[in-house]
Amino acid sequence: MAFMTYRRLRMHFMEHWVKILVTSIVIILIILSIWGMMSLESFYRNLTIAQMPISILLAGLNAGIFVFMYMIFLQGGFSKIKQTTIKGENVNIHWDDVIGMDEAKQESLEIVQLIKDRTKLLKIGGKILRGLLMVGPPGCGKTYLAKAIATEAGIPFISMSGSEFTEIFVGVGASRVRKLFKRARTLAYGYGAAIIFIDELDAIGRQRSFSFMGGGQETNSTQNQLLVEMDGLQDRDCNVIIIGATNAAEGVLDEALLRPGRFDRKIYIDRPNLQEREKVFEYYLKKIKYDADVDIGKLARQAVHKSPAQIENMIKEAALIATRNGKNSVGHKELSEAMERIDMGLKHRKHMTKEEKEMVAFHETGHLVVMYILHPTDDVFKASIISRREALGAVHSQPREELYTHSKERILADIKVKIGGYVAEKMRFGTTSDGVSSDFRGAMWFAHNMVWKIGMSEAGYIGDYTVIPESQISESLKERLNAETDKIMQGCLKDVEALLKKEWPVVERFVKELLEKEELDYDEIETIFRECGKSHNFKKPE
Amino acid sequence: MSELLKKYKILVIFLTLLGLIGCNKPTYPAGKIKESILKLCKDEYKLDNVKVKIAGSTLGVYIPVEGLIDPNLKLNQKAGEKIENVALSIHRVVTSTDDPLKFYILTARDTKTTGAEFILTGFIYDVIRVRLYDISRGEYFQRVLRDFRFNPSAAGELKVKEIFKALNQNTSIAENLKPIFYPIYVIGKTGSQKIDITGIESKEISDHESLHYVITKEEYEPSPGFEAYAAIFPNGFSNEYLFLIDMSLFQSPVKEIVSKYFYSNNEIRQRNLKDTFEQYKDSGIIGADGFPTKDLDLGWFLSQQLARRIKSLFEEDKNLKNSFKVASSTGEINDGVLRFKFNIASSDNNQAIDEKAVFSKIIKLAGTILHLYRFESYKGVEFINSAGTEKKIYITKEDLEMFRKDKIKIEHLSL
Repeated sequence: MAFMTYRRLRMHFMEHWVKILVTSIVIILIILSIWGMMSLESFYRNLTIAQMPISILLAGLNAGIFVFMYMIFLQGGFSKIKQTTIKGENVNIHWDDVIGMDEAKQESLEIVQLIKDRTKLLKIGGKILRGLLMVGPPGCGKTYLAKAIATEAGIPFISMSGSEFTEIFVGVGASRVRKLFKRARTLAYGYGAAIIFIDELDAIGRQRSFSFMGGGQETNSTQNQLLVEMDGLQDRDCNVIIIGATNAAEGVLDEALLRPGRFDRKIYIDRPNLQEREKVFEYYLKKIKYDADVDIGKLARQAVHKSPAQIENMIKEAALIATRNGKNSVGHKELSEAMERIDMGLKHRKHMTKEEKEMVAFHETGHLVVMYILHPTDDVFKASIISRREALGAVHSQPREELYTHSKERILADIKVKIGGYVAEKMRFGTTSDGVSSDFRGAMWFAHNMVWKIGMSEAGYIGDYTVIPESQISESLKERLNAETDKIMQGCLKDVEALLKKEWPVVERFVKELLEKEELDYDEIETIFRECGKSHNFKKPE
Repeated sequence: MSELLKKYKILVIFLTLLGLIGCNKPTYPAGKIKESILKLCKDEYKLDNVKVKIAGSTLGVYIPVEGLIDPNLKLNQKAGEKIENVALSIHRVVTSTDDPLKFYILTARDTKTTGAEFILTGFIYDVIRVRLYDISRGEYFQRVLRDFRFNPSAAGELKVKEIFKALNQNTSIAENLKPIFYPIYVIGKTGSQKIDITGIESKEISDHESLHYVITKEEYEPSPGFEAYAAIFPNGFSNEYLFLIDMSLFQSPVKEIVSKYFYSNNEIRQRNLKDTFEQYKDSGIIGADGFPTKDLDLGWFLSQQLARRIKSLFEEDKNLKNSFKVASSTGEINDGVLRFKFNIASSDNNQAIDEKAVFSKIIKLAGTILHLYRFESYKGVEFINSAGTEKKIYITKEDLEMFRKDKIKIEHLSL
């Protein structure tokens, strides 16, 4: 205990020796000046005190000018970095606060144990952990997890963003890396270990490029310094762990960074699955007042592929909406509106003619009916003829569960859903609008990929034809492949026409409802379909 | 606010401490002025013959100096250094005290040349202002009164003491004066008389005359036949004399001696010498003891300063010096009227003086100086040029202020 106290004191001295020295000098000067003042005759004492404000003002002004000049001309301030150093116990994010990433948590827990039991590990000759790389999409809790590791291990935590190292001047980034590691080593000396967390590691960890023009030199030198410092940790036997976080693909980072001895461990932090989303919803909803009838399971199903940060944002947005609506607690309506606002953007009412509005209603109903009846995986959550962003209407759908692959049936259903709007317009009005352009672009992209890239054509073409240089593909092959693409499109068109013809009363019912209400949400859509005796072609979740 | 205090606590503590230091008592508190000056002079300048006396708001400091004047009639360098050191001690004390002193007078008197003295008179607020750089050193030097003069009362007092010494020693000089010292030289045995001065008061009557009121204790043995007088004048009786000394009369400066007792019409009579002495006004600022005879006031100080400034104005300015010659310049204040009498004539005897120009410059100067001192306790100012046909201007306080502001011209003032 006494030894640790001595080390901490020494660490504090090593870390703050300039401050201690300056403070001591200032205190001595203050004592001397007071002593000197006391020995002055009262006239000169009062004279000096009377001049004090202007003296302080002038001294401040001089200091300000000096600092300004120093910053501008001598660049003394550029290599300075604002490091957020927090003691582990003060990070205040506990293990229990980390939710929705059970696997990553499990891996991290192991790392915490490694940090804590370092001595034991050294004794048995184990390999000391140097770096930990967290990879995953943004908003999935990488920083959160890193902070939780710091809390759990009870060691100081220095957080920096990769972009904080980059500067227009070559060498500044490297200098900042040196200072960062120097500080971390000092903290490790005092506290036994320290964590450096570098967010957005790809900003400095990107594969090094070499250009005769000198471009990228700064990033290269910063990264080189990082590599040197990480190696240096081994030499100096410092218990400093570097946690890097990135949402860039693994291939983006420089190989040197990823080799053993640097970022030894990689944790993939993905978006939460259904159960995890439920936990996330539960966690964030606890922080606000919400109605008892809010169905967390349903919300979790709706929020497929949403990151915890998005879910948090959605709940905050819902709280804002509730406040705006004068409600004391958040209900399903607010949550639904918040999700819609995040997914689809803010409503932006455009003045449309009755005919235009009707056409939009038929278009959206076309998508809606095809999706509901034909789509094997996706569910409709909202249909609207209120314009948002550039769209005049929208049908909002989500997969009912996490699906990481696209089956042929799913892709064909996607094409059919996209064509649905066009077919509905044509069937009702005998003509079509340019509202179909984005639908067609999407549908064609799917159909083209099916044939050219993923071997889903009826004619049995397999292979990725896009790999072949265009000049090496024969015109006849192109024609055949394109014919297959067209065949898919035409097939889908026929199916949709048949479906809508058959279900035209349902279409008209929805159009009527949409024109009346402008928006239909999940429950209303479900009720209408049920009333019309229609159901999904997939098994509904319990 | 409290956040700021917390953030800058060291600065706040430092400033508070400084503020508290400012609240500390003055270095030379009132009541210890005398001791402080003596201590400073003794400890720092090795001057142990300095004397201090406070009269009202005037601080009087006296220092006897050996050889004040050089053979070439200039201030001796060593004496000058001593005066400077004492003046510095005075400045240090008066600026760091809570005693409401207004003026100081430093008198350095020559112990070799009888009555020769150097007087430095200053306004304490001027000392503070020059130290605060509120006025220049040049302006400060113009504000201080420097007088190098002969003190008739001091010289006269010395002469009086010499006379009594001569009487006691029966020297030939005293022989002619003995009958005046009635009655012991009439009723006493020759050689039995002894006179001791028990008190002496002096007054400066003019710049060369002094009046001295002396109280004595006289001893004698009655001559045969005069024993009965012992009943009236017992041995060791108290007597009084009045001396009028005129130091301009080098051969016989004793102009008159009057004794208290005199014999007339067969009886011994006595005069009230004290009353006679009191009837005379002391025209001097420094008494025979080297201290101011009265508490100074700003009106008197400014009248003297302005008189000197008028003189130096015409002596130091090249153009004015070529055109005018200044014979004298005096100033006084009586009944709220400042009066300046000067003798300024044209340097060319054949040419008439431009009176308007002279008065204009002097009035402007007077207005400016009185304004700078914010002096208000006067009714008006009279300017008299005694050169040739006497010319005078009386100007009220209000008109003087108007003149200073150039709101009225000299033409509007009647000469």
